[in-house]
Amino acid sequence: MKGKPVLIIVILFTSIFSNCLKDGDIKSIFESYIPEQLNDGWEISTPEHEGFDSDKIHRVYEKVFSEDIYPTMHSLLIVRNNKLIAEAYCRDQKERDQFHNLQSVTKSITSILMGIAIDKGFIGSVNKPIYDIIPEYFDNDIRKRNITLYHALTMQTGLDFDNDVNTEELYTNAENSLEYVLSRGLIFLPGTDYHYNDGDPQLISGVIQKVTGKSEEEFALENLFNPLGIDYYQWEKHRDNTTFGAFGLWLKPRDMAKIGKLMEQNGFWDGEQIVSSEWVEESTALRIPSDYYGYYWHNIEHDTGAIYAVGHGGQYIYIVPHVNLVIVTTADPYSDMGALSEDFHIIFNDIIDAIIY
Amino acid sequence: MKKRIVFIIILVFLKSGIAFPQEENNNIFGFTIGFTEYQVKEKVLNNIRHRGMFFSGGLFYEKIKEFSYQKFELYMIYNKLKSRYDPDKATTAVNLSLNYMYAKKVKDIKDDFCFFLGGVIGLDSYVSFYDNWDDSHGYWLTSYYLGLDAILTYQTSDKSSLFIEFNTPVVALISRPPERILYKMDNPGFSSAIKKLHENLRLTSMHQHFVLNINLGYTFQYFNKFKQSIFWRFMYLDNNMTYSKKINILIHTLGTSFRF
Repeated sequence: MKGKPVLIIVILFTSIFSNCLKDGDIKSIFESYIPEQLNDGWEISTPEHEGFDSDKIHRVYEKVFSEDIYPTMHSLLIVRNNKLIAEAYCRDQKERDQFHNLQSVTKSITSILMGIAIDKGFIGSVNKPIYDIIPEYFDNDIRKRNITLYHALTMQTGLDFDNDVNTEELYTNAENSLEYVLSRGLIFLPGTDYHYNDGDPQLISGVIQKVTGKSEEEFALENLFNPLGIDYYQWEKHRDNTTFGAFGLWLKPRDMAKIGKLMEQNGFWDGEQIVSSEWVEESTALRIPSDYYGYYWHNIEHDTGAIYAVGHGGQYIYIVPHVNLVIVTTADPYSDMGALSEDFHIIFNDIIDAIIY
Repeated sequence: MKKRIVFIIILVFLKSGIAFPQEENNNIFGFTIGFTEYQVKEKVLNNIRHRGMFFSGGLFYEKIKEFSYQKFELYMIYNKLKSRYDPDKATTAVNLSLNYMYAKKVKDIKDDFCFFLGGVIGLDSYVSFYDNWDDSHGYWLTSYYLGLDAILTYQTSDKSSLFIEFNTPVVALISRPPERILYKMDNPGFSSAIKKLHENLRLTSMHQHFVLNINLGYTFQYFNKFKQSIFWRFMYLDNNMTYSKKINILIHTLGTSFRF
């Protein structure tokens, strides 16, 4: 009898608190991929009207909403013939109206802005040495004075910038972002090898700022975002007021698709040439065959002829020009995509396979 | 199934001739080892439960007087966790807990029951690295708190006792990561990590930071030179700061203490 009150207390608390935390639902239930008509510049159509097998598109979305195959994916948008034909948000429909971290897709936008700066005559050629534009940030290593815009656009500067270490330092500790990038030693002479990094695009951002008198973000707003109707975004900047050229841009998925449509249309948008078709061709041409890389745009080696911008975790703007197709995905921006989700290119190929010829 | 096992263990405690010992030594040093099941769920990382089991351990010092009880304790939990999506245990969770408790004997309820009530002050730090879900940042909850502590003891003989302890923070200084993480990756340096663990410190109370600790145990003397306790500890945490996203942590520990 003595133990009875204690026993009651024990039973009570055991039953209340020995339960597990309930697992959250990572994805919502797939209902529809039909886009809603909004006043955001997008013309809406259907897969059938734009030459798709709608059953196959439906199956693609079922796969995307399946928790087991693509748990990290947030959204999938399909644009064909300049019309938004399918769109769905696996986590939360509200993400349609929220900007998303693009990670290294930012680099591809920086590439477009470099093209616009050249088109507008701020810079003569990609062969111009960066030293001629921003000499004040160079150190005494005269070999670095041979670094050209072309080298920076193709990740061939040779600067010893290791993303695993130096990106964080660039972000948090460096007093001046350009000086910091240029203070890195050379691991090879400029133009002799390829080294993917976050430092080279920062130089491009700095060059844009120097020649235009506006930060890359301000230049983008005026010459890219405003013409495309992109008015809700975020672009992080360094404490020295230089926009981050390699990362830090946040856009809505529909606005990512606008960038894709612009590239697919060779720089043409609503009767206006935003960036020259020459630059679109030049920047997406294969420059680094070993990595299928152009000016911050990736190339696909096989016969789809696709080009794409990709950011860490699975942010994609995937363009297949010869079939007028743009695909956009967003995903957990810091996730190890390979560990949790299947290759997103399987989705892209499924969508291409859904085209009726 | 787990619920049943815990219940059976507790029944075994109750039926094993429990008695509350009058501690002969008023100053007790000891160490604790346990087997911990750790569960954590971060809303900012999809609200998925990450779960794992591993050993934990700590040190303590107790001072027992006729009408008061003091305890200083350091306890650490390290765990590798996985969610239902992770192919392997890629998540690491570490909890460091440091607290001081002082309680006064309020009442001898009957001959066998004593009730102590007091306060607790402490630091709890929970750090998790979800490598598959975020390979660039650590996630944390740091709490400096002031709370209430209550202990009920039940003595069945001069050699053994049963105790149940509750404590909960009432006010706390809390640090959590922001809802939208802008910086691309963390600085892995020590000073930077300490600074990060104290970002956005805000004073709050139980409406945003609810924690319940329950410690149920049985103290007995098996060896001649020291006493032992076996215990089950439970901790439930629910934090929802306005600038961050909700986190839940649930910890069960079965362990033993050696008291010298």
